Amino acid sequence: MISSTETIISVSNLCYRNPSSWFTRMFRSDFILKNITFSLQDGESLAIIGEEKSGKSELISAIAGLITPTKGLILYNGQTYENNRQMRAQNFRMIFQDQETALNRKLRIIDILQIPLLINTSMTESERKERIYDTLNLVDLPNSIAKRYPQELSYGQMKRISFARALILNPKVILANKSISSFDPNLRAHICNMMLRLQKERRISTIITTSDLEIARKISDKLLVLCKGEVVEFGDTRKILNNPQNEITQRLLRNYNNEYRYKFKPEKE
Amino acid sequence: MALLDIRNLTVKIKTDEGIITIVDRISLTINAGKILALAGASGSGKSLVMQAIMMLRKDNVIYYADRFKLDETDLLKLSSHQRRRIIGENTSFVMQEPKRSLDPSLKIKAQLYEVMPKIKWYRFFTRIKNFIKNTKKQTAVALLHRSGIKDHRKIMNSYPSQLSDVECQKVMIAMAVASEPKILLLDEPIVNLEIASRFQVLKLLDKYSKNDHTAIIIISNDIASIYNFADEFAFMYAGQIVERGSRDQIFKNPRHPYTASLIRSMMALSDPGQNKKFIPVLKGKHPDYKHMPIGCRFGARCRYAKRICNKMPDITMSKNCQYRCHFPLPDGALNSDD
Ligand code: SF4
Repeated sequence: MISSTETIISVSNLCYRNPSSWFTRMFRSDFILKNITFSLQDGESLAIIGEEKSGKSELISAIAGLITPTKGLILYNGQTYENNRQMRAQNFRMIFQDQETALNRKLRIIDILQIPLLINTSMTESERKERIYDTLNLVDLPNSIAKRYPQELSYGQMKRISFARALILNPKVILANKSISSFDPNLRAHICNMMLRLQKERRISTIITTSDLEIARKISDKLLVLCKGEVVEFGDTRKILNNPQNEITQRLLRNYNNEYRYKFKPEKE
Repeated sequence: MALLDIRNLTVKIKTDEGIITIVDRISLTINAGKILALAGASGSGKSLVMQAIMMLRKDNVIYYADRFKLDETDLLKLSSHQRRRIIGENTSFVMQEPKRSLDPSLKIKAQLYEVMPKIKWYRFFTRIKNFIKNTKKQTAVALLHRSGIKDHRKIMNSYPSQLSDVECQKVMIAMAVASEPKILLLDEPIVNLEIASRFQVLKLLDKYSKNDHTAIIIISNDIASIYNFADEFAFMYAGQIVERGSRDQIFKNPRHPYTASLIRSMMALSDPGQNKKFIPVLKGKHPDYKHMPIGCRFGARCRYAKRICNKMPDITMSKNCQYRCHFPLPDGALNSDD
């Protein structure tokens, strides 16, 4: 399965340990991620869920290349990208959690969006502009926004600018770390729609970590349940959420559908 | 008799471009042992309402209110110093982002001791007794236990950076209830917490409100998570409360179009039958405070807007809800998709 041509990302035996001095390591050798193996087909999207300190953020940062795994391999289209910075930067774009600190307040939107293009491509200025306006169109923002500063925008617009920055290099994979949970339902629905559109129209794989199972259910094909750095369940989202096999997944679901939570009741007609 | 009674609270902020009205004439009442949830888009002034109740901000901010009563005391008649004292004794505030609101350079122990009520200097015997019995530590441990922390020894001796988000949140709640407040204000207490932790925090708050009859005002955008937790909901849009009422009334028959759109999104998101389908969403964006529309502030995004909406609608009171709209939605409008 790993060597099939359609596999876009495959992670095998990934381990990660906090970089620490040899002295600390002598007493504690706790791995944050242990032996993680999974693979994603082309066009599929993944949601990572798990309890606190289960290593979700570490896993997503390892896939994005922000941290170097201690052991194991991450293959993109059958090749590693650890030393291939250009490929990694073009195909794996990350969206960060805090939309306010993610954007530089001293730069105009157009400059924020230009930086990846300046670093990774050799486009002329008009080409760059064209690409920027195309991308702004894709995330439902007017072109006039390009001249403004991040602090003049609303939260939803800032988030969309983060998306635009991630999309500007036409990546194959978008990684988002806990970036939807803090919004009101309208904005959540909007961002879910945007992710779905990217998946359907551009065949971009999205990998998200979230603590909202409803969002995972809405926008992902595959679900990965982590517990203490190990994969406890991996498979089709709907199947897992409707019929969880593992005890940990069952507990997560039970905690999620707690007594305070709104339960959807279908209309009986 | 309401515990907290606020009428027409207005908050203005002085900026370089003049004075901007952010919170516009909102009224809140809450009874002991009840839970009120404030929801709405980000930037609709929810946090500012809380800060106004606590009188946290001083410079650049002007507050007005027609009535501000806390437990029969009319706070508007007092001097600002006395007012702050009464508010400080009776209310507690848990701020956004627990990790950032704790002092990073002090141990949890020291921070807990700091918030405990002080014994007056002339009560020598109590002080000596407490000193011998080490009451301070016992109280702190009891507080931590009550807020659901079992491993108190480890928590007391660690710095905030060594704790997780939930633990910090629980410590914050323990610190907030140390003075046995009558009203507890929480600003986004469950955002960015993990699944099980949210449930724990909500359960803890529920326990406080049931056992101690603490009134709780909670800000949360995640209305699905607190659906069964709050007794009353108030929805804010552009600095006004557009609709307020009991949970059953609002979620069954919302009157204001904005509330209806939020509830529709919430329902569509939690519908397990519609996977990977687009969700109908509200178009447009939240108005800017510098250029507020003249009439109804929701007008630009409203589907039902007519000419009369150029005039600001008044608050209409009905049996168990109140709303600000000229054309309230009829019963059962949620399920009809037009
Ligand atoms: S007053 Fe008019 S514009 Fe405002 S919400 Fe009601 S129908 Fe819409």
